Amino acid sequence: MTAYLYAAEDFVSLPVEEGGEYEKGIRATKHNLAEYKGKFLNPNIAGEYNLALCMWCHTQNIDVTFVDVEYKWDPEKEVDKFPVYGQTKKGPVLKSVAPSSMVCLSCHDGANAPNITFGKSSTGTSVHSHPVFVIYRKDRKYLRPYNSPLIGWEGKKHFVYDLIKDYNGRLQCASCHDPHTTNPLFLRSKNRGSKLCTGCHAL
Amino acid sequence: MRYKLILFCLFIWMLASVSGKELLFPEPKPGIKPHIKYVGQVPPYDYEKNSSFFEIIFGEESELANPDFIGKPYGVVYARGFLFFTDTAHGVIFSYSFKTKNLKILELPIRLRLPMCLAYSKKLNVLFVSDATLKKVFGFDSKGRLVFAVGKRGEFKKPVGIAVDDNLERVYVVDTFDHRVKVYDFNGNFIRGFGHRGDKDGEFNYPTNIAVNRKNGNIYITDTQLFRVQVFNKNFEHITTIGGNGNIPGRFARPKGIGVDSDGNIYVVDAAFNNFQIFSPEGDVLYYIGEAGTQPAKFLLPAGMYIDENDRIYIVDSFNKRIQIFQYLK
Repeated sequence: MTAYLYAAEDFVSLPVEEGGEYEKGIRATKHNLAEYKGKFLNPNIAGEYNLALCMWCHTQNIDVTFVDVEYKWDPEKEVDKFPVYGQTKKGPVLKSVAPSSMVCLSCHDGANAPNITFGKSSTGTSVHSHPVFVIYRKDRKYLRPYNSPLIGWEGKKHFVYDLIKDYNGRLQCASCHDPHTTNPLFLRSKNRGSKLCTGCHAL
Repeated sequence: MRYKLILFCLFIWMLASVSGKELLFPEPKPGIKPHIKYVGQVPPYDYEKNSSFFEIIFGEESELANPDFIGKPYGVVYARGFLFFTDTAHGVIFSYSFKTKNLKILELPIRLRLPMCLAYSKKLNVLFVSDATLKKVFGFDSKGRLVFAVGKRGEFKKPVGIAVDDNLERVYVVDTFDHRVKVYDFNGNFIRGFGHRGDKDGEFNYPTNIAVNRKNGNIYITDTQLFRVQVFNKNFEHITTIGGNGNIPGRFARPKGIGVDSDGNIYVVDAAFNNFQIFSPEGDVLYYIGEAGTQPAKFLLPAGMYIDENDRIYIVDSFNKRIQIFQYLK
């Protein structure tokens, strides 16, 4: 059985050689769902599970040709992999929501992890926890232009444009957060002196 | 001029193929009998009437356009002509009457903070709800009066899944952060608990949802963060485990809602696959329904589910802000 990591298209690809940094971010934080009393829980996979820390989000990709599965109600139906996180075989279903945001929301439902809610308030006062999936309007006075540099941010985010260039200009979870970091609240920057906020917001 | 005729024919064919089609699973073929039928959704929505020309031709799906009236549903239950579901964003329970088609917010004597799962006791005629922030489980009668409450200070770390067994007069509460299932009688007295954190049979890693088999009292629990489902009998003895991490049928990435039909088949919702898989009582894969999407029988971040006495299947489709309804045909 071949097993490798299934990473959503724009997902931060995981460099195995440089994995130390990522491993620290997962292992030392609440995103470590695998470790209990110094031992890794077995996520019921065959073979080695040294990737156990990753598997909680990067679902194990299994080659169906090596697995003996059939649908009992329709044995002739072709057995195929399930695309994960809001994607079909053709790609993401929604143009405004990144698969990586779907990864966050699949656990942050109030049951497993703090509830993340979002949306257009119908009453005037928003009950929602996050302004995620809002459109970044570059023409607004209080928002910095697209080519403003993001200094000291983690990950491949160098300019404001990198945060919103896909998905119809809407902010995603990964615009501000990196699940692999040890920063407080998994922010992309330590946010000393509101550095994270002022990356986009002009005073 | 010929291409215009061809285009026109193509358009008519597309219209015909979209409208009036019954969604049956598996698709009926010689030798293959459908077992599940798509029935509809709550709140009701006419996809044929409301879909634009472009949606039909190009399959473009509208997104983030839903009103915020329903925020982020999680749990669902059916009782006496009403569908109840929780809204974790607004902290309320919605009730939908199939008779009057009226959708409204339940008025309760307690201000809920994070209502998660729902359960219903036919014997008591009581609706149960778990609140993960208040760390309590409440029961309300048909007039909305509080008749049941468990969750002393420190009793629950985070109660999520709840289920009722009317024959044994038990209320099951899944304490996700305690990795334990706690069992109460109908008076709210603690009977026993089972499970703790671990990866062996009968151990859990953040279990969330629970269902009970009405016929034999079997207990079905989604062990969400170990990507599996565990089945116990009514004496809390472990029977079987289904799943494991992986993106193929028979495995899970983010299992959540769970249900069991009158034949003992097990239904498991997966929020990462945007589908639900159906297993035989022995744990063999029978079929799966759903993929990512906004159309009928497609899902985005599905959450809780419930199967009623008549084998109606209710699945919370949280990102699409709706409850999709299917019927098990046997």
